[in-house]
Amino acid sequence: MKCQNCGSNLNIEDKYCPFCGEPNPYAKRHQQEMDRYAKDYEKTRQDVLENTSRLNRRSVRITIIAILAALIAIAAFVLAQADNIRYWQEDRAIAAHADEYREVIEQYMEDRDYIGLYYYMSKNHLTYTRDLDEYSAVYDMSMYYKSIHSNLQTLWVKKSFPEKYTYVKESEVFEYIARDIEGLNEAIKPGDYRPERHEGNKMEYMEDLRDDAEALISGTFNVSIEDVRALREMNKSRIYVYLEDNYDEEE
Amino acid sequence: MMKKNKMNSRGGRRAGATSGTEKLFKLVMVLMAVILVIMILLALWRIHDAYDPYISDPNEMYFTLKGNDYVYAYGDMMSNIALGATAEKDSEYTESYAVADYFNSAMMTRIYQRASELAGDKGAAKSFADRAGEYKARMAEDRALMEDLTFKADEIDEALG
Repeated sequence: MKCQNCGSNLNIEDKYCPFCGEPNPYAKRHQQEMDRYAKDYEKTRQDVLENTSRLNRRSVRITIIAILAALIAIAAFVLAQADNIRYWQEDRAIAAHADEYREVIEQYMEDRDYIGLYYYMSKNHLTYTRDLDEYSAVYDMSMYYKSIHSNLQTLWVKKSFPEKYTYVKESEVFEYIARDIEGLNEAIKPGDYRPERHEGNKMEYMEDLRDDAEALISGTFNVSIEDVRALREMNKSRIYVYLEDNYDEEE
Repeated sequence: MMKKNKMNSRGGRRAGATSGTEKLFKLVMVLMAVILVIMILLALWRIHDAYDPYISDPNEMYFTLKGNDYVYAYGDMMSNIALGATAEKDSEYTESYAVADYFNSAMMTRIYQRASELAGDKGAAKSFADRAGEYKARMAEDRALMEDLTFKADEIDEALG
């Protein structure tokens, strides 16, 4: 461009003519435009950065939500399988100490501590586990014995402390005892007889257990042991009738 | 007061402004995180603690016996013993256990005495009499351990007849 005063060449940024010193009117406007462009550029840059960052934040959040959803699905599966996981853990723990458990169970069997064996196996979750499967029939029998014993205790407490267990009817107790006697008789000669469960000291234990359970019935219902042994051939209903006929509440 | 405009002069969003969608995102994330934590805790509880065996403490045993609830007392005692959980507190349980066992022994003594009297089979009669004797001896052992609760033994004897 040319100086309006002397006509010499000027740059647009020159505020004054270097030859005659006349002010350059375009320089100021140019500077203002350049400032405005710079400001606009900065604003656009900020907007672009902000939008990009918002998009990034959104993608991050969507990713986090997707990960959370996946974790929730996994947690739901684990929750649904919690019992199986626990059984699996218990089985592993039992397998690791199976010999120690066997030793204790054998001691209970030797002592003929039927109720102790029942509580030991059930409270330590040793029932129906693969590693101690050979004791499943012994456990079943002990469970029936314990149940008969508890029900007889109930009858004795009811008789001795009349204010106790008023909500329990004798007929209900007879029903439970009849069920357990039938259970005992079936467990000792089951359909799925297996030597590892039913032979040797296990059968001796089970036979003694049944004899002892019959002695408890004999002493509580005032019937001879020979009569009680006849219950071996009866079903639950006939046993119930027998118990009901022979129980003396007053004695 | 004028509501702050979330838009800038060119229709873009101002820096620091939060849209409804972003709030919703945050809410969903927080909810999902809470659900996840609850599910993890629930799963851990069900795997480890949910089925922890119950152990009755000496006070509970005492109140059970005070109410003559011998069926529960005996069951609690056997359960505690099976779990081996009472070893370090044995002294605190001794008296209660002695009472619970005393009732059972007294009942078993009477049962075996009657069974012995009724048995036609002489071998069985002797065996039952021996068992009755064993339980009788156990009653004496229990009585010796009862200390302050000895009156319960007298109460049991009187009630059983």
